[in-house]
This record gives sequence, structure tokens and C-alpha cells, in this order.
Amino acid sequence: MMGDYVLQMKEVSKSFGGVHALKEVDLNLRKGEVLCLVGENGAGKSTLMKILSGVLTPDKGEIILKGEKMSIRNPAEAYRAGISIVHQELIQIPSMSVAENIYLGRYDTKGGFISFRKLVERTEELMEKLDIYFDPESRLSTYSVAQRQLIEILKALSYDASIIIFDEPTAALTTDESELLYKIIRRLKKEGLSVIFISHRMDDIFAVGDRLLCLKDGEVSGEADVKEITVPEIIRMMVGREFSREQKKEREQTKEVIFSVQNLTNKKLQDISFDLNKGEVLGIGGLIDAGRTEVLRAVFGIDPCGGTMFFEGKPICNKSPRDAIANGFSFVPEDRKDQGLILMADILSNVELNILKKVSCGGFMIRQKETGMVNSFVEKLEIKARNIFTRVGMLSGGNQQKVVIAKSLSSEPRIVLLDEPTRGVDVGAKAEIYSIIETLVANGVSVIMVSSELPELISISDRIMVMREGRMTGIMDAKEATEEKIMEMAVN
Amino acid sequence: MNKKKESKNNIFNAIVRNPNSMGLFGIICMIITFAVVVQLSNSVFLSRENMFNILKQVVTYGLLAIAMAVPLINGNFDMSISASAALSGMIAAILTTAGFAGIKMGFALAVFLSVCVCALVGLINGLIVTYTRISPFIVTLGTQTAVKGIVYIICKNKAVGGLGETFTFLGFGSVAGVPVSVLILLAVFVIMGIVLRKTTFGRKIYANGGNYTAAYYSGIDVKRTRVLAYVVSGMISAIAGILLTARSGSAQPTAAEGYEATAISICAMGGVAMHGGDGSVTGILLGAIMMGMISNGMNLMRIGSNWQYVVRGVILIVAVFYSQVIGDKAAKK
Repeated sequence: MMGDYVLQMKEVSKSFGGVHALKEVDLNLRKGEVLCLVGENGAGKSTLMKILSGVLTPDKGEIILKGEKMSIRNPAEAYRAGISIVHQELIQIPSMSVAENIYLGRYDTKGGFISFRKLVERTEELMEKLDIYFDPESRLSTYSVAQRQLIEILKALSYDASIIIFDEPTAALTTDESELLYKIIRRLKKEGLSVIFISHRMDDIFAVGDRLLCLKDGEVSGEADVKEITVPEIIRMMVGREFSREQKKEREQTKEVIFSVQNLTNKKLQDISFDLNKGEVLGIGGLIDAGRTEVLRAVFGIDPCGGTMFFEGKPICNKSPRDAIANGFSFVPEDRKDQGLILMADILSNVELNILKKVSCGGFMIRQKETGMVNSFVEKLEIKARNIFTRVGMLSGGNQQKVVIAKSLSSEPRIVLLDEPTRGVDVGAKAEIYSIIETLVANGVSVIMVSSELPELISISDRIMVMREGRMTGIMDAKEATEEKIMEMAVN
Repeated sequence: MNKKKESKNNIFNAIVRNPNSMGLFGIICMIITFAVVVQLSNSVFLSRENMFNILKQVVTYGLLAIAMAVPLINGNFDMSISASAALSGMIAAILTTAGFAGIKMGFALAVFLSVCVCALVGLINGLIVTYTRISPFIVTLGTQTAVKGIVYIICKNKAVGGLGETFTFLGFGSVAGVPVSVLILLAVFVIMGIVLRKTTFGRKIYANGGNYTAAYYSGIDVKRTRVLAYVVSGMISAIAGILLTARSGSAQPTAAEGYEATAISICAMGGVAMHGGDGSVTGILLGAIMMGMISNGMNLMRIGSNWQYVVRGVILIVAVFYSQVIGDKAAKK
């Protein structure tokens, strides 16, 4: 039985600063098998695959490849061991040719010069194997995302891989394109290669999967043959945690609609309509790329969109974040470092950004107003720093997030848009952020919150809207919501 | 022993924790070291007279450095400042002497007009940079070349001399023992210091350069700020150009050629972040003084001008390296 496995990962553990990302995970892979790796966002799938591809080293556990125990210390060693990964975000150089991209850094040379003829030949051989064809000499930038995905697969194969990992390859593909990918995977199987397939899509699993391994909070929560399992069973495996939801404080619901959106449509969104009550938290659930962030961006005037928005019954138009802030909105973006903060500037300069007009007079900053306003937020939100002249780059993640929240609250918004407000912050800061949301709501402010953490979504929201592929698949009362229900709407 | 080490660390912490002094620490050390070395070989160096000499020499460089710094802090390059300086010097000279197309005018009006013209150049830079995706470096390199051409066209390939008394006063006069040009330099620095630190416009410039997306999401009029930064840059280059013309006694079409590179060096030494979001007027002034001290000091030490280039280049790199090392240390704290 042991001999059947080409790859075994035994009791692999990994933690990041005290947080267990993986706890004694076992993974077995047979020759010519497609193993689907599933789990919620943050369940540890990526960490496990990073360990296998040499990007991370495990704290504990061993990797046995074709019966031999080995350690994979860096990506080059993984390639040498025959393990290739097709990354979700394409790591390619668009200005170089297809052949150059595939054999990047492994060019055939002749007297110190690159032999492009040989390069093209090798690329053509590779493409014959898979029965797909691209012009090896055209620039990568002339191809579509889906085509580039295929080129990435070619690259993975070019390392003479015996194990190929696909990290959510169908996320950016259309149905037809996915079909082509399935065909290629079946072909790889026939040639005796083993595949680890990470995906959120149930369609993918049933189309190509042989076996299924489910992770939950860094642990294996289930393993099954794809033939013998149903969608609800998979979802239960993904969610199946006994969690005790704290009894939510009853909020006073006024049922007074303050903001409503009708038929919001743009490149990423289709026909999104919802109402938001005064003093309500509307949660938005769904998988990555379901269009959750895009809803907030459209409402906040970052992305252009069609459809109408009403604020207190009057139609409004947010053409830019500037308009949106003037109309009483504020936004806490998901990526605080790239979109929320000026890391090299101090707390003061960051918090006052939204309200430069309020803390100045005739264009000149009024120091007293600035420090008074910022200090009051630092106290209210309990931002821990030496003083307000500390550079935000030096603060911890939780405190940085609180600076972003302080900034967004400084303009006294009526509607606050939160995108993953507790991502990457510690447990203590999380609880503080929750209590900030409670205070806001108690004061009649309305909140729209996107979150990938289902327990958080259920316990903080009053109502939950679930999205899938840019569409709204349902909206429910949080009291009736369960993780299973949300996941089912998110995947089907 | 331990205690001593600790107190030393505390001073270091106090300096590096203050974001403003952090970038300046390196340049101040460089200036002191350099001054000591030159002073030991020639005692004239630190005399009052020679200090003013150095300041007079750096007026044009200093002003152009701050003209460069405003767009730089905002996150964009402006290579056209040297050409703008030549243009304003030439316009002011022509308008006050022979006249242009029959129009002659007084000094004040001529200066006002040349500042306006350079503001227009800045406006064009700003609009192109903001509303197209062309790299600011290329846009301003283009306007630099075009403006240079315009300078040659309006002066008909000849230098314009015979400037009036006001020009002479600007270039060589002094008030209460301080050269006029140095006073103007200091005035511009004080004003720009206030603009950058104490006005909403200044805050927006730092925000834009520090994180354009975050600034946009915070409701800042990012595009308008970008354009205005270029306009301000053009106006300061105009002042630099007029002072340069005054000091050389004539308006040369080749005036200030290549000075944009020196301006960038000064900004770099003075702690202006090349990718935007950071930098201070004090730092730029110190950078300019360092630049002046290098040539002046080496002249006093009788080092040939060819070698001066070599030394200047090396010092530039060392100074920037120095401030980066200190910046990294602070970031780890």
C-alpha cells in the first residue's frame, strides 16, 4: 500500500508568530491521481502548497517522495524533485516571448549566446505533448488570461514534473476555457502524472477529481472519494466546526431605509440591488473574486457603474471617493498598506486626510484643531502609539487598521463601508474593532461589511447578502444564517 | 558601562524617532566632517565672508532643488526646471532691455510676466502628466527640449546683455551685509517650508507622493494637486532663472543647462524621497549648502575641477547611502 503513493506529507505543522496555520496535516497522493484540496479562505491550503513547493519550510513533519524522505528548502529544489506549481496569480513577464517565459532562466546556450532556435524547438515539443499550440515567438502580452494560464501549465510541465499543483486555476476562466483545462488535466493523468487541484468550485471537483482532501482551520477535516460524496457533504466538511456564537446584543432596529441601491452593474457586477437600514450592519459574504469588494468600490465611486443609488430617498451619484465622502460615506479598504495608509507619514497626517478642510482655515492647517481631533480618535479607538507623531509604518497591524478606521470616521460618515476590517489583526484588536462597529451602529450609523470569516459575518451582521461571480445569490437574516447556508449560496 | 551604552542609544533613538531629523542626520554629519577636513587645510573656509560666498554660489542650485522637490515629494519628476529657468531669465532680460516685438516694460512687471510664463510651462507639464499615462520623466524631458528651443528662438541665438541696475542689485547688492540673492533664497525656502508643512496644499502633496491610492480614497483632489505641484515648480524655477541672469550679468540661452541633475543630487542628499512622500525644506537647504561647500572647499584645497566632479559624485552616493542606513535603523526600532 505504501508503494502506491508518489507523495506523502506526514504530520506537517506550521505556525506564524504563535498562530497555527497548519496542525499535523497528512496528505497522500497516488500516481496518476487528481487530488482536490478544498477549504474555506484561510483554511491553510496555500500554506500547505507553499511548503510542498519550497516557498515555506515546515516547523514539523516530513515529506516522503517516491518512498524517500526529503526536505524541500527552496523552489529550485522542489522543481528538481519533480514538483511544479501553477500559480493563481500569473508570474510571467508579458514583454517576453512565450518560449522565453516557459524556459526563463534555463535557456540553451551556444558559446555563451542563447540559442533561440533550440528554445523554440523545445517549446514546440512541449506543446505537442499537450496538443495545444501557441506561437513560441510571440509576446506573451498578446494572449488572454486564459491562454496565459495554459502557458503557465506548459511552464510547470517543462520541469519534467511528476506532480503538478494547480492553485485555483479556473477562477479567471470561462466555462469553455475550464473545459479545456479539464481535458488537459485528464491527459496529464493518463501520462501518469499526479495532480493536486485547489479549487472552490464544486464543478471542478466533480469534473476532474478522484479524491478530495478538506482542510479546516489548519487541520484535515475530511477525506473522501469524489465518486462517493455530495455537495452538501463537502460543504459540511469545509464548514463543520462546532462554534458557539456569542449571543448578539439585540440592536434596536428602526427599519428606516437610509440607503438603497438598484441594479448596480459594471464589468464585475450584475444587477446588485439592496436596501440598507439606519443603524444596520449589512454583511456581504462569498468567496474571493465573487465581487464583494467591487460592490463597495462601486458604491464609493472608485469604479464606474450603472444603476441608481438613493440616499434618504434622494438619488445620489458618487463619481469619485471625494463625492462619496461629501455624501456621507467612508471606506476602509481591505489592503491597508496599499490603499489605506501613508506608511511613511505619522498618525496625525494619516487620520486628518479625509478632513483637511475641517482642520484648516483659509488653506492653513490649524495645529490645535489637528491635534485635538486626532488625539480624540487615538483615545476613542485606543490606538497604541508613543504619540500622534509616530510613523504608522512602525505600528502593529491592529493599530494600523485602527488608524485607517479613525481616518474613515473623522468625516462623520452616515454609512461606513468596511472591507475585511479584521484581516491580519490579532484577537485583541479584533474584539476592539467589533466594539467600534457596535458603537457606530448604536449611534445610527449604517455599516456594509465584507468579510471572509463566516463566524464574524454571522455574529456582526444584521442581514447577510451572499454573492457569487458578480451576482447576488441571496440575502438573509443573520439570525437564520448558518455557515452551511452561506457557503451553499456562495458556491452554487 | 551598560548605562553609558544605553544613554548613547537614547540620544540615537531621539534623533531617529523624529521623522524630520532622521533624514537630515546623515547630511549634517557629512557637512560637519567635510567642514572640519577643509578647515584643517585652509583656515579661510569657515570665515563669514567665505560662508556668504558659498551661499551666493548655491542660490540658483538651491532654488532649482526646491523647484524639483515639490513635484518629487508629490511623486513625479520635473526635468524641465532648468529650461524654465533659462526661459524666465531670457524673457526678463529682453523685456527690460531691447523689448520683444516692440513691448518694453519695467523690471517688476517683466519679472511677474516671466514667472507667469514658467507657471504656464508647469501647467502644461502637470496637465500632460495627470491626464495621460506618459511617464512624468519623459513628459518633462520633452518640455525641457521644447522650451530650450523657444529660448533660442526669442533671443535669436544671442545672449542678452546690458541689463539694468535692478539686475545688478539682485546679483551683487547686499542688504545689512547679507547678499540680496541669498535673502531671496532664504525667503523662498521659508515660504515653501510654510506651504509644505502648514497648508492643506502641502499635506496633499505629501499624501499624493506617499500613497496615491490612499490619498484618492481619502477624497483628496489628487489630480488638481498634481497639476498645481508642477505650476509651483515652474514659478520657483522662474525666480532661479532671473537670479542666475542677474549674477552672470547677461541672459544666456544656455543658462542652467544640466542643472536639473544637480537639483536631483541636492534633493537626494537632503533626504527627499525619490519615490515621493518625504522630504523637507531644511534638508534641501542643507543639501544645497553641502553642494556649495564641496566645490568651494575643493577650490580652497586647490583640487582641479575635473577631480571635483569625481569627488562630488562619490559624496552624493555616500550621503544618500548614509541617510538610508540611518533610515533602516530607525525602521527596525
